[in-house]
Amino acid sequence: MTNLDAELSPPEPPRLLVFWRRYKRNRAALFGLAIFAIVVLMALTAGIVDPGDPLRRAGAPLTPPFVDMATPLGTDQLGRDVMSGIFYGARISLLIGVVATLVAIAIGVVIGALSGYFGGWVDDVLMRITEAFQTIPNFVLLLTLVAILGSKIEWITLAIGIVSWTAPARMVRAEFMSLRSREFVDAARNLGVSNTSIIFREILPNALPPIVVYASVIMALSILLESALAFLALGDPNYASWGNMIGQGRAVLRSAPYCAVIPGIAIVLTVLSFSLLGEGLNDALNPRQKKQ
Amino acid sequence: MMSYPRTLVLALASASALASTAALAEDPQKGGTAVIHMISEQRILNPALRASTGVYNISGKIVEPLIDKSYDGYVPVLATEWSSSDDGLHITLKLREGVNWHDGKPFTCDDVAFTAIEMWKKLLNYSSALQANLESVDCPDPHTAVFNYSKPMPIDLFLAAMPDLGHPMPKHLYEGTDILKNEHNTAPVGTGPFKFVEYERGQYVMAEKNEDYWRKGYPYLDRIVWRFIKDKSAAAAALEAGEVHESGFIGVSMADIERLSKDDRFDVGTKGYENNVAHSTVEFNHRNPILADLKVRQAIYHGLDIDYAIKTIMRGFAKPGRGPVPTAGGANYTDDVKTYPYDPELAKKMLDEAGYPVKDDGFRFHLRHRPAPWGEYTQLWAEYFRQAMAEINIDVELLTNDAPGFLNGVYRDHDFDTANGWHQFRSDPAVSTMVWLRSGQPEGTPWTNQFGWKDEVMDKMIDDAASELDPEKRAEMYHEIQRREMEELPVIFAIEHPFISVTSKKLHNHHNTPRWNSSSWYDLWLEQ
Amino acid sequence: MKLPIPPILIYALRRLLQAVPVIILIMVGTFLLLKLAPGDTVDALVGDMGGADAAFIERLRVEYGLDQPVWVQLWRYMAKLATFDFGWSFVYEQPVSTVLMDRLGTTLLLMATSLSIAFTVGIALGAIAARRVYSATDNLISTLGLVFYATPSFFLSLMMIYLFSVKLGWLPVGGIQTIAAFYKGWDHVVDVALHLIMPTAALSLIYLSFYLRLMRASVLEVGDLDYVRTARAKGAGEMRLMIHHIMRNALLPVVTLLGLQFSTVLGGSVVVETIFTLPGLGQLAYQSVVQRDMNTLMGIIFLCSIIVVVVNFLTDLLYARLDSRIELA
Repeated sequence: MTNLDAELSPPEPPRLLVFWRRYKRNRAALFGLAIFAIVVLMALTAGIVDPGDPLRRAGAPLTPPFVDMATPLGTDQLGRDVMSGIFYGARISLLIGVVATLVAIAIGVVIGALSGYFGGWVDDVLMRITEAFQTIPNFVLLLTLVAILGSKIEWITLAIGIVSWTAPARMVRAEFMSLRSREFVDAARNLGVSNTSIIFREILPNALPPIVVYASVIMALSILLESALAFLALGDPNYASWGNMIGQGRAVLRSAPYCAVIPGIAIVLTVLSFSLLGEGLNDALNPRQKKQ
Repeated sequence: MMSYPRTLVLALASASALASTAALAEDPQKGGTAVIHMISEQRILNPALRASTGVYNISGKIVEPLIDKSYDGYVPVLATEWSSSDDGLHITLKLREGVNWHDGKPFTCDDVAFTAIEMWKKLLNYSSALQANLESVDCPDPHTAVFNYSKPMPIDLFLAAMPDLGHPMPKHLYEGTDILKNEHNTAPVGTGPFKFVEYERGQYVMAEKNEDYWRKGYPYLDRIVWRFIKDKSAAAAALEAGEVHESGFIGVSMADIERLSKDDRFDVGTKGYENNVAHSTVEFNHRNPILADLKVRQAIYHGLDIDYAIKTIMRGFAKPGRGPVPTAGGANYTDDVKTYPYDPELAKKMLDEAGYPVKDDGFRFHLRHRPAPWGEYTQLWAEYFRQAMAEINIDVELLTNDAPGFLNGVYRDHDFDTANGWHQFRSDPAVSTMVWLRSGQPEGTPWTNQFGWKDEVMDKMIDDAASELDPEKRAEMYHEIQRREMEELPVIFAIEHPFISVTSKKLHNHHNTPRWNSSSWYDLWLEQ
Repeated sequence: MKLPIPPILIYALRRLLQAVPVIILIMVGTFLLLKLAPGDTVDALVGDMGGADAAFIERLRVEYGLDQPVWVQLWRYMAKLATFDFGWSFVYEQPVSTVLMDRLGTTLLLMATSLSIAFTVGIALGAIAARRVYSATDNLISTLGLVFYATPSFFLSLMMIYLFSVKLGWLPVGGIQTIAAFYKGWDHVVDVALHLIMPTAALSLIYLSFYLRLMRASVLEVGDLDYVRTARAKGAGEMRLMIHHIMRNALLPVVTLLGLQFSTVLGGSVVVETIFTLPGLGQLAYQSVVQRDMNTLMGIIFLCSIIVVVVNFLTDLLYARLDSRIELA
């Protein structure tokens, strides 16, 4: 666990290489990276594997897997190809995961940075808002937002981002509070650097590592939240998403379990890969497991 | 002529028919608790305030109607005789004597008169339109009621409506109170074979045997419990685990219905729903100039493979629709109408001719479709619609909302191009499907013609049929309406589907009337 | 003469004062948010009834005060709430307070069992994993934790129902009790416990994995600190070391999480309560959104806010207690 030597040993190798060396020490994290790479690859090649609309009728309804080579993982109730659903679903899941996370982190960084940097009444007001968001059960808020906005994928993603920003906001705030009185910030302030510039140029880069790690958690939660919405039949039916596939597959869970189980496994593996990635990043970015 | 796969339906119907005849041979056992699955919670249990099959499913055992319907026609319940004056302005009912409310007070004409004027005419959905011309109800003696109308009321229509819209409530518990907030709306007092015991919100409603029931020796059951289970897969599991004895109104997924139909612990079938069939629809917003073109609507119909949808989505438990009156409409139904067999090539040709060629993006035009959020097969039907339209190069975007969002989007804001859902046929076209076709429906009223379709010929036909007193002429008029609807296609009544029950074979005498789930179950018994 | 006020009371009072603006913010925000949603409770009710005519719909709207401008409705609601009157639920035709109290017990029971199982099992497994770090045991526990975390609760629920209820017939499919069995005393307790096994498992696993990972990490971190090394050097036994020195310190972040997560668990219980037809607040919240039952949803959010404030206060106390012991150590 003592990476101290590696860190100090001259000559210092490029940062990225150090990062990679630390990352690959965690074998589980490597496994996570591999799954993640596969999911990304599936998302990228979906159009090549199946150039058509993944929601079209591709074969006889409820063909089991490995029977018809045109639909190797079988078809669902409306004859849609499960494999093509999995490939296109990877796109949707990643898209929801990444965009919702960006939304959450963007809101979180702005609120957390303002709150932590300025303190005082700004902090008071922003923290009350944060507490309000934390107090409302996030899934209930999500359901309400989806009820208002409708089940379009853009809105679902935005709504997931909106219910997920409080934790990063608190983390950024804590980082800012500990960093704002450091020497380099004082120095910048004395040089007349603007607040915006101090916040985004000086402090934020130093506050980012824990946020990057936490991003993997939000990504994982986003995918789980989308699938729970789809399970309650509030997903966007215009796209092949894993959540929608499970939601509809459960009607045939007993007679054609593969319709729900295959996308279920896809979700489990993808969420697992995000968590493992997160741990790897954590090890690589905070070699001594330093917290706070 | 009809090519749909109905072997399965027939096989199941005869199987359950056999099962019930076999049961009749056995001696009924007394006692036991029947547990019934309800998919959605019914909050108001007063059938004179809420006309819906879900309410009848519970309250029908506690509160009885004046007249019920059996396979042999109308049967007396609280009314024993009925007749109409020649001008159709007065309908006279003889009421059953010696019947007591559950609190011991006698049932009389006062109760009927009070309920008819205060609830059926003023407060009961659907009924308030039906009874709009009801002027008064006279009580020449405690067991005779005379309904006085300002315009002729066809006795056929009156009788067809009574089993659902004719539940008297006890006047002495409602008079002088705020009827909508009366405590007995959620704890009903009736004359039925079962007495209300308790209603645990979110869990169950319980009713117990009425020892003082007017049919001597009935009921057989000690108790009925209605359990609310929202999730269809969980409901199927509860049936299989023996925790629930019956699930009606397609309370489990179509796939599970098909699976359980092969399980010899259950009777699965459509028997007992002859009065409660529904149409899965495709609805057009005629304000959209593309859809206002008849040729486009006809092309869309040709683009839908109804037989395939029946086979895959409804698992064979359905028939292709033939306009606004289903086969369950009896004499009012005809299949002598124009049809639109599946023919995508023809559909494409018609769309080309209508002036909508395929554009660079591969589509002719785009439609914003609102699917009704009624779950499972309604959702699949919407997704099938999208699939089928893509085949004839029409791009369909599904806009999913929850129920209030959907009802608002379609029926108030008219913010849609096409929509789908299902609509229940209530035994007579005058009180059900005609509202889809009649223009001038007030804005914001769900499940009425909010499609911007106005046809003066149709309006006149509907009005004439509604006040025609001669049953034969009336039937012929409805056939004409069907023909015109299938020509003009304001709405596609694509699939006629009955409801389906899954019933444990431990229950006997089940599904023995055409509106069984709404009926009183006085003769239902449980094998122990 | 001044009466000495116990510092804990002052602290409690300060927390309460801080909570008031947050709760007002939540209530007003939720009210306005719901008003943005298309359709109102009358639409939902009419939808449930299978339709109604225009006059009927109009009358219901007047009856429920929905014909008034939004700010009037908001003012009326907040004025009532100020006297702790939650109003009337037009969907359930009962006072909201009755509706809520009926459901609160089930939800508190489910949350309490889920969180305590997640908490105890999570920290136990986390501690074991950390003490045998990088061993096969650790790998197994950590992997399990990650899989628990990654499995959607509804997916797990469906699988459990299939296995334990349908195939094996050991556990009831759903509900909170066997209806019409009229159990009394211990039989009733056993009955309810049986009904809660699967929902508790489904709800607790994701939190179990949170606590497990957090505990493992904090035990590892604390294990490296000087005072633990000192204690170890002094020859303290492994068990004693674990309980007296490591656990206490490592529990701090876990306790914080517990406080923060209370409302998240209520959100998570929406899906679990729906599948297992448990008459709890989660399912009620979901139904209230879909039914646009404003008063009920507002009541739930209010209740939830109060609970969160109380739980956070309690965790603060617990935290302080754990902290002071550490000072002593």
